[in-house]
Parts: sequence; C-alpha cells; structure tokens
Amino acid sequence: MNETVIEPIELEEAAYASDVSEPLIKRNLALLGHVSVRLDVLVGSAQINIEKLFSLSKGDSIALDADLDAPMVLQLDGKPIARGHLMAVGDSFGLKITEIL
Amino acid sequence: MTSEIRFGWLGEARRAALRTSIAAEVMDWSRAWWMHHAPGEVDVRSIEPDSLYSKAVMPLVSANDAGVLVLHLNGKSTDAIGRHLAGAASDEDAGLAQRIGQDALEDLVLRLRRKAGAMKIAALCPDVTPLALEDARLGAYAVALSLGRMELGLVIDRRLADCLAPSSAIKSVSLVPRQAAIGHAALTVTAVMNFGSINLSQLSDLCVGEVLVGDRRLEDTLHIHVDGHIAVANGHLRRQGTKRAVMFDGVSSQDMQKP
Repeated sequence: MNETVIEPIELEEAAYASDVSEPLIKRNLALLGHVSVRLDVLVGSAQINIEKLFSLSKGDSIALDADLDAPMVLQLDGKPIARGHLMAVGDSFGLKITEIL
Repeated sequence: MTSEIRFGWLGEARRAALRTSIAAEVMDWSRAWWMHHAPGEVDVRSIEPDSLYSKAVMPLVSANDAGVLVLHLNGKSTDAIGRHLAGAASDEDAGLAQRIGQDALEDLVLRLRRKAGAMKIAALCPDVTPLALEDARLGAYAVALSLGRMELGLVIDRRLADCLAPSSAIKSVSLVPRQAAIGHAALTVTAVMNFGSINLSQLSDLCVGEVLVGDRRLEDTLHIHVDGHIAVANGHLRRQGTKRAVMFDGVSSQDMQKP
C-alpha cells in the first residue's frame, strides 16, 4: 500500500512589479460586458440658503436652473458620459441620447 | 510693589480706541507746536511697550494718582526736539530750543491727561520706567509718534488707558446664534435621478438616437443632494413655467447615497 505524504504548502514570494510592461488583459469592455454599472441622471441644480432648506416641507417645490427642453446629463460614477432627453418608456424612465463620446 | 501692578491686557478694540484718541491729541498738539506742521507727516501707530524699553537711556516720566505716562525721546535731547519743532537748523539759542522742547513735551502730556479727565498736573522728569509700563501683559499701551523725521515713543499705564478709552465707550458687538448667522449661507441643491443599473455591454454599444431604458419607475423619487454630498431629501420631477422643478416628498433615510 502506497503511503500519501501530507505536508504544508510553501508559497513562492510574489514580486511587487513585473518587468514586463505589456498588459496581460487587453482593454476590452466586451470582456466585462456582464458587469453592471449604476447610472445617474443629473436633472438640475438650484441655489437656496440654509434657512430656506430647513423650512421646506412636503409638497414644496423649488425651480431648478435647467429649462424643460434642455438635455439631461447621464453620469457614470459621478462623471458625465452622455446627454439626452428624458422620455417615458412604458412605466419606466428612458433617456434618448443626443450626445455621447 | 506688586500691589501697584494691575494685570490687564488691552484687547484690540481698546487699543484701536486708544490709538485714535492719542492720535487726535497729537495732531492738535503738533498743530500748536510744530512750525512745519503737515497732517500727512504726523503719524501715530501702536507698538509693543517693550520695544521702547532701554536701560541705557532714561525716559521722561509723568506719574500721579491718575496714572503714569512715559515719553521715550529715542536718544534725542529736549533742545533737539525744540529745534525740530521750531524748524531751527542751527545750534544757536540752545537754551530757547531746550525750553521749547520741554514746554512742548509737558504740554503734550498735559493734553493727554486732560483728555483722560485728570486735572492734576504731574511733572515730566527723567526717571526709570515703572515695571507696569514695560509689558503689554501688565496693561501698558505704547505708540510711536512721528512728526516728520522726529520719532518719539509714548507709553501709558492701564489706569490712564482706562480713562482715555473707557471700556464702556467701546461699543460691544452683540452676538447672534450661529444657526441664525448661517441661515443666509448659500447652498447648491442638486436633483439626481438614480437611473438604475445597466451592463457595460449595453453602455459600450450606446449611440446617439438610441433610448437607454433604466429600471426606475416613473413614480420613483429623485434624490436631492446638498453641495454634492449625501442625499437629504426625496422629490418628484415637476415643472415651474419653463423650468424644471422638484417637489419635495420626504427626507432621505435608508437610501442616502452619494451622487
């Protein structure tokens, strides 16, 4: 009967940086196609003072600095990536893209 | 001796009031005594009392119950001061120049004492500087007086300072609660719609004209952020005339998030 040797594994020390400058994984978003990202739409801003902020109650409105027909900004991780117009698509919001890089 | 020392640092408002009071008297005095009086060349500025202190040169001291005043002549004799005031360049009539200098300095002290409400006359004699006039921490207040190229140092003690610029005469600034003071500070509120999550593959293919559909329902609320930080409230998208508006619905609680 063969006897199995059981012993601890000795790990090799990892180098802090490789000498090879060529990236191993090419910058190809298709590889990450399944990854979800959260998007925000910047609707508009307004300047108010602290007193006004603390006096707002449910149902109060404040006008924003954006015109009704102005495109909204689509943000990814807080960075603007596209502009578009807000639409209703069934019961959900949609954004018709007017500008994107 | 320590019983004579009154501890009492003068605050900035008191020092400013003292400088104004002394400057007004010096201006009047120089008009009366200085032949080449020119308002632009008369200057009175606050200095530290210890910057005038010197063991080598004895100042002129005027002391009585109403307070102590010390004049530093910066190495000049009273006749040199008299000549400067009289606009005389030569050394002739040294006796007259000395009298003019002495009388002028005594008159300056008298004017300041009168302004402080003290009617008693106190002689102006060479003496050592009292300890209480060597340091601002002991309530001393000092100014440098410039009349053209002539510069004198003047130090008064706390008693005289209290009379020249009483603390009651300094208008006290009433404080307001911090909450009231910040009430008018401007803030930027930003309405942000959480559009939902999409796959990067959808994003990479996105083109102009396409409609990106989020997973937020039409009735879902917007987040109201203050100065780019956490969401403080929720609201609904509305219109006010030609502008977009947001109607507040409630405070943001569980779903507070950064924009």
